[in-house]
Amino acid sequence: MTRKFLAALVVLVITGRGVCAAERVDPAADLKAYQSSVQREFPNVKLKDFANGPYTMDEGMRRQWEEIMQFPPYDFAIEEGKELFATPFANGKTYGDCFPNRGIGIRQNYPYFDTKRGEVVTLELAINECRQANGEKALPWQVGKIASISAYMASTSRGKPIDIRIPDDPRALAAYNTGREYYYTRRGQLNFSCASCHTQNPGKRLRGDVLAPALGILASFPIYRSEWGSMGTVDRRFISCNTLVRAEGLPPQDIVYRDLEYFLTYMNNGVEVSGPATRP
Amino acid sequence: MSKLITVMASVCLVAIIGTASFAQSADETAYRKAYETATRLHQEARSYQNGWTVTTVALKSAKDAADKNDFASAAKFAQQAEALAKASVEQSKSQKSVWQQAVVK
Repeated sequence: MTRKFLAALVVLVITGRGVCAAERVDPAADLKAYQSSVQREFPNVKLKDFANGPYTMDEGMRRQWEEIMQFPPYDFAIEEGKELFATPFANGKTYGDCFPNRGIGIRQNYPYFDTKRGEVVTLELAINECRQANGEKALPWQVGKIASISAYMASTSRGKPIDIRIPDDPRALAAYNTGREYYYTRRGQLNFSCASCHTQNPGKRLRGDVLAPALGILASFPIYRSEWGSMGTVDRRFISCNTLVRAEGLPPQDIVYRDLEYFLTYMNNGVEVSGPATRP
Repeated sequence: MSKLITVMASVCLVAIIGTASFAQSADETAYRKAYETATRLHQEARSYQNGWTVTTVALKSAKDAADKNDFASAAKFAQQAEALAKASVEQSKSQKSVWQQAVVK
């Protein structure tokens, strides 16, 4: 009887500690551990250079990139986005009326956790909500005008370090942890997680591609991908990654994708915004 | 003599048709059972945000074959979908307890 009681007590203590450990999420410790591990792996790459993704990992690719950058393929998107951004809606208002600092130089603060509504707000979500609040239709999420507007807004933040905050609100921590779980969870027939490529194997090749570390990835969005032949938002990238491992993507701006973007951008804190950018 | 031959031929024909119809019926049953299970498991995987694209493709192939009354192929695709859906659910459940081991600490 005493033995059974002691055994039950031991199990309770062990599982109890397990639950506590699972629930104890410390974003600041995650950030420090993650950035330190990447910098240990790539000691010659400066923090701001991680924003250039695979081009910092491979000398040959870097040379290609330097040539591409003589005529950056995303320049057209910045031009279009600038024009759209300044064009008044039917009611006479503009995008600038919806954002702090009239939308200029604010990319480094997105996504943020909105404590009033209790959820993560991405830049693309804010753009479309701005349109709807002013009587306009929402734009498609992954390509086209929304990518151009986002590209222009990002361009006004270049050089500013990413600064994502996690407010003292259990819902914000829960959103961060949902994104963290999604990032590290393997899925799809190929049994890959986001981390399989971008945390466990950066710098290595997956067929013809050089894998970029998660550090810096979201500093460069939206991106022009040669594979796509056009600009794309973070939603497009997430869905594309899911599909590559033979898992179904979530709907654009699904709450879980927003949480993933929140977690991943937080991991990029301190890296300077370099978006829009180009990728293979 | 010719009567006997006619009777024997008729018996053979009935036997052949009967066998074919039985085989089709068995395939159809197998298809329906596997398709139903695969669909249920696929939905369960989706509840973990982990539906596999290949399961969707196999289910569609099964349905397309069944619509053409090709139940042998339909059963084969449905059983393939069932195996894929089952694997996706198992992956989802196991990841619930192991993903934290991958977190950089």
